[in-house]
Amino acid sequence: MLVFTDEALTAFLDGELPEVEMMEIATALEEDAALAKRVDNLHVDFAAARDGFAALLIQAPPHGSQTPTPSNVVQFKARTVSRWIPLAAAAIALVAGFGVGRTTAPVPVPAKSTWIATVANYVKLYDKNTLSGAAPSPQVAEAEIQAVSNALGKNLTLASLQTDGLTFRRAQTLTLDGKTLAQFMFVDEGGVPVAICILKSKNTSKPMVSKQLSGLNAEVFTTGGFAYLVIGNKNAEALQSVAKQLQAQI
Amino acid sequence: MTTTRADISSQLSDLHPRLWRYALVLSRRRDVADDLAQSAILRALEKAHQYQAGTRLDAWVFTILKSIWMNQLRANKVRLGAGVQPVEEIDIAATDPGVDVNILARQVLARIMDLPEAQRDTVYLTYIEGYSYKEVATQLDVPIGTVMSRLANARKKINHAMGEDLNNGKGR
Repeated sequence: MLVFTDEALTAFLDGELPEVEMMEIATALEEDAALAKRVDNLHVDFAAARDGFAALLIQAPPHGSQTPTPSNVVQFKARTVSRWIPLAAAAIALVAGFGVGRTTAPVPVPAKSTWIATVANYVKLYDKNTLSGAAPSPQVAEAEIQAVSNALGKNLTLASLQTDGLTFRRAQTLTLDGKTLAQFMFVDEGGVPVAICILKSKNTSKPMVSKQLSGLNAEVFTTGGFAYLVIGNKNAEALQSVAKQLQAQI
Repeated sequence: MTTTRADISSQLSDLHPRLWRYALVLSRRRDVADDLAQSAILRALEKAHQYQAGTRLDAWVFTILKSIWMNQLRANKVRLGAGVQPVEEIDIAATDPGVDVNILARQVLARIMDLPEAQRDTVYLTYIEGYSYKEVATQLDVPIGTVMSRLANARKKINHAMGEDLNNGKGR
């Protein structure tokens, strides 16, 4: 059995480990309750801390002629969020059932968590800063989508995923219960992240259903043996429009 | 790409609230934080010609601020102890998210401020300012392993303290 130091587990939580080690810890967490307990003991709600420290910015004294106000205060500069951070969050969510969590459990998921609940729990970690970098070129976007498509086993292109008003930002492959979970991140004109997640399904088709998960609106449907989740911090009508266009294109 | 002194001056003005906050985290004293933030801006303007365009200005000025702070400590210009702001007084203004969030935010902030300086500094730059391990290691001039070690120890301390708060009825 591999032994992980607290430093390695910390780096795992922060998405700072190389890909191979991220996978090793994520895999070990699925089966090792003691390891999950150690990860739980390292958990701190730094999102709450950022809220607290953001409030301090407003208390800064004026500098020169500038009086700091909430509008000119520089908010949290997002770390360059590693594509592994969602995996870390998902892996933690998967082991939440070991019963080691207290009220500060990293990713609260219902006891009978579904894949969409798990995904919702990490998608809610995305904010406007997370994907604020430049959009990839069409060539890079297509290459990323192609790689994820291959892993998923479904042919997808930028044109098939692109919907009105959204701009592609990145594609990534996650693993959930041993299954490939494809995630495509877009932003709307205001920079709000919208995720399209796809998972191979036993069902051939299921009609579109609107849901609210972790404070986010979501549309879920199954077609052609794949389940689709469109989720983001947008109003239900706008998200439904994205989901319907996607459904028509794939 | 060239960055003029005027550009830097303008950006430094925007950075001032973050510099003041970092100074407060390091010194835990409002009066010292005010002076530190102003000194860092003045020093950055003096050294504007050394700034490399295309690199992160905020990280550069944070390093300057930290250097000034360390020099002040070495010169014993700041007497630690008597003037240190009690954590409770480094309070946060009521903000929108709601009472529950504020209580938790205050708790975590207080626990971070309770950490020894090296851990507090590392946690702040990593989790509040959002720098990568590599960037933090560069700013603090320590190996990445030291950053990881400080973060792991800090996480355990904060987690444990938050658990105790919960058991003592101070938490949510």
